[in-house]
Amino acid sequence: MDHIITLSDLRKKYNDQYVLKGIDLSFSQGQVVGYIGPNGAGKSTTIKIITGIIPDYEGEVKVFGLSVATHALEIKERIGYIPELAALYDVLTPLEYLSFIGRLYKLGDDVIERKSMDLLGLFDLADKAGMRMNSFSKGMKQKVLLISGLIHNPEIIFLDEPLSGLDANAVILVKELLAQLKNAGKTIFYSSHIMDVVEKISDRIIIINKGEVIADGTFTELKEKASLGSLESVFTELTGNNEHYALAGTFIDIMKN
Amino acid sequence: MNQILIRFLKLFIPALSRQGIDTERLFVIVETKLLMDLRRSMTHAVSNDVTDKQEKDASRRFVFVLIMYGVFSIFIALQIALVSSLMLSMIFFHSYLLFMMAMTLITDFSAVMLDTADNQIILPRPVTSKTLFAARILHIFVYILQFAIFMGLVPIVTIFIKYGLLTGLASIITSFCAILLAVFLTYLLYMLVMRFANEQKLKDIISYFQIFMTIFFAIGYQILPSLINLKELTLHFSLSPVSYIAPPVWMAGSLEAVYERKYDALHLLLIALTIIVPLVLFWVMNKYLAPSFSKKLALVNLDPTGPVSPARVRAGTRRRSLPAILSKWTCRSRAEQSAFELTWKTTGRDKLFRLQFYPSLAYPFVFLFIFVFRSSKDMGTTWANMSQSNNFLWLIYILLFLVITATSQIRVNENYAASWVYFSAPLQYPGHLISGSLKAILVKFYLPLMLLFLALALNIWGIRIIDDFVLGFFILMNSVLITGELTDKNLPFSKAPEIKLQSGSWIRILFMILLIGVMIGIHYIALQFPVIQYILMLLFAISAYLLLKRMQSMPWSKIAL
Repeated sequence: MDHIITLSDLRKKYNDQYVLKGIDLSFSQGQVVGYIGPNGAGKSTTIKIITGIIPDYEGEVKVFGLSVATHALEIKERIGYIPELAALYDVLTPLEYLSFIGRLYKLGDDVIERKSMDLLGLFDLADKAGMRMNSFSKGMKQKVLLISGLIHNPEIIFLDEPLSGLDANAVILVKELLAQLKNAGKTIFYSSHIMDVVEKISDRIIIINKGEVIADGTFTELKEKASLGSLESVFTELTGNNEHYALAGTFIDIMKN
Repeated sequence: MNQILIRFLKLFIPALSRQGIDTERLFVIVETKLLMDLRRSMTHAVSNDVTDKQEKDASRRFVFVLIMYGVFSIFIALQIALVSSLMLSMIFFHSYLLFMMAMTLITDFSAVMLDTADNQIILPRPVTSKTLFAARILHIFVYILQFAIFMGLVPIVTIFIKYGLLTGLASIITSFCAILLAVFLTYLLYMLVMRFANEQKLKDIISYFQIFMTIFFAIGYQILPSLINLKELTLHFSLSPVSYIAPPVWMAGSLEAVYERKYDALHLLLIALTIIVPLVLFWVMNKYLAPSFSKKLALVNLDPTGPVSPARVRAGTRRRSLPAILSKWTCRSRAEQSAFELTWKTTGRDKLFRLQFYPSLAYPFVFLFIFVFRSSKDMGTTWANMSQSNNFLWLIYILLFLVITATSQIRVNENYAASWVYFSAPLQYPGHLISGSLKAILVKFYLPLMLLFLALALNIWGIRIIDDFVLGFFILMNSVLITGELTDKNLPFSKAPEIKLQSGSWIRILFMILLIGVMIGIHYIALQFPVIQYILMLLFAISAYLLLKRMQSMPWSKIAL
């Protein structure tokens, strides 16, 4: 039993409509998994179920061999989750916020402070450690969020659109960070619709659309399947959106009339 | 003060951990939340995305609310001092506590109860939903305790003085229980509403409560002082058996037991109810209701788009909406119609506008009550003599305040930057936008109330006042248009929501008020001379028409940026 995460026949219903229609996946330790799909495909929902944020679902989800339904707390202690929106308490300073999060993981005050300051320094935020975050840009908040998801040295890291709102330099830093985390043996589960990031660092790419997995494999495998150049076109072909050209033409026609 | 309260609450750690709550994490969350409340400079946490200016506004409101509570609690204290029956005065006191606490929670603390940011920030962490729920309750409890101290201090001191040490101490405990009960009842209300409605509905309901609070305060100030003359009422005061259902009666009964040393079965039962019911409620909520509530809350922002609704809009088949029909009737140019519809829809949907303006919809009624019906001591004779008076002028002009408030608030919007579309659009006369939105306000808010008041006036004064309403309508139009002329000319929803005094506005506002006063004065004088009324009607109609044309043909150079 060396699978660190297993999903079997995972289903989730919102308002009597299934947004996840039976997902079967398993991941081994140390994998970097790109979880790709258009908006509304069910990416965030999947991540929220695995991380124990959404408690009601159908099917079975196991992390570290433990069921999420019964052992959410133990699992949460060993994973890190970084959401897409810059959702944090922005009336606090980064230091206060990280100390708040750190204490929820029951880390010692001195550990939290040392780690926070060092990590903030890496992200060029050391001089802003004592400033309230409501004046921060989205990118700065996202950096604090990244740190808050990693401060307790988690074994699996879930990232939900981690690059949204980051400036170009931070994007490069995050990509490098992910590569290094991978080298350190961490498992990374990563959702995105941005192609170029995923294709470079992912061991495995899963494409999901309308609550179903429609492709699963390495980038090269997927590429061979589609016999097309970049992942973006793989993606568009697999999700059936290659009538863009026709759409644009119709658009022009309607505009003229 | 928070520190003291926290230390006090830590006494309950053993009890809480027995419930399966992680107390270490619990207090981390509560302390952080209290720190954040402080940061929000006691803004009542109205919304999560307030700007600094709004925060200042909100903190001013906070002080205002505190003062109101203070005045109220002095009334209550007076009532305790004057009413001879302990039972009666305590029923009043605890009802007041319970009611005020619940209202405060509903109107001002809803943001904390419904804070969905918690789902994103805390739920991914190793915190059980039970602990999070307990933290929320505790946070609200500490916050509300600060209010409670403000509200209860004077009355409780009065109890100490009048009824002695033991009863005083007991009253602290019963007040405490009343507050607990208020927190639970409010949460229960929220849960019920959330069960049957979505978050948007809940927010609507909250804003209705806010309007209700405004009316309650305004009318309460008129009525409470007269309620203090309760001495004669006390003599034939007795409780019907049904009234023992009401929690304030339990608490008052408990205090009576302590004061009069009456420990019979009934009083012991009341004491038991006072203490046990809040505890049982807490247990039930934590065990059964909290998980489903958090689940429901979790849904609120997890699924922002939701499954696509089948109600698609198809060109041609769509029925014309009400504002679209009305705009065709009232506006001639396309730009004006467009501004009319935009204003109509935005005033119904924008959170900020609704929060600021809808409570003022209540003011006309409150002022009417104060000015018209409280002018003499006996309400009955006032009513009987009404048809002889000229009080219908109040009914006509009281709405002016409302319209002017609306026109000033219509300029402001959180998405003020979106007003670039006005500037990029090929508009020759931006005045059409202003007149269109003014018309929307008049049709949507003024007209229905005016017709209501007209109906009321017809009932009292008969058909003869109809020409006064017509004249009043034209004078009101003049006043509104002159106000528009004398204040900054902002396009609808184009200003950032911050409090900025207009340049040199005092003189202009003074002039404006003077002018409006003169016009209403003319109306008052004209009441004696029916012929003059018709001439005035014609004159004011013409001037209103000209002012409207002037507003519509306003060039870009006059628009305030």
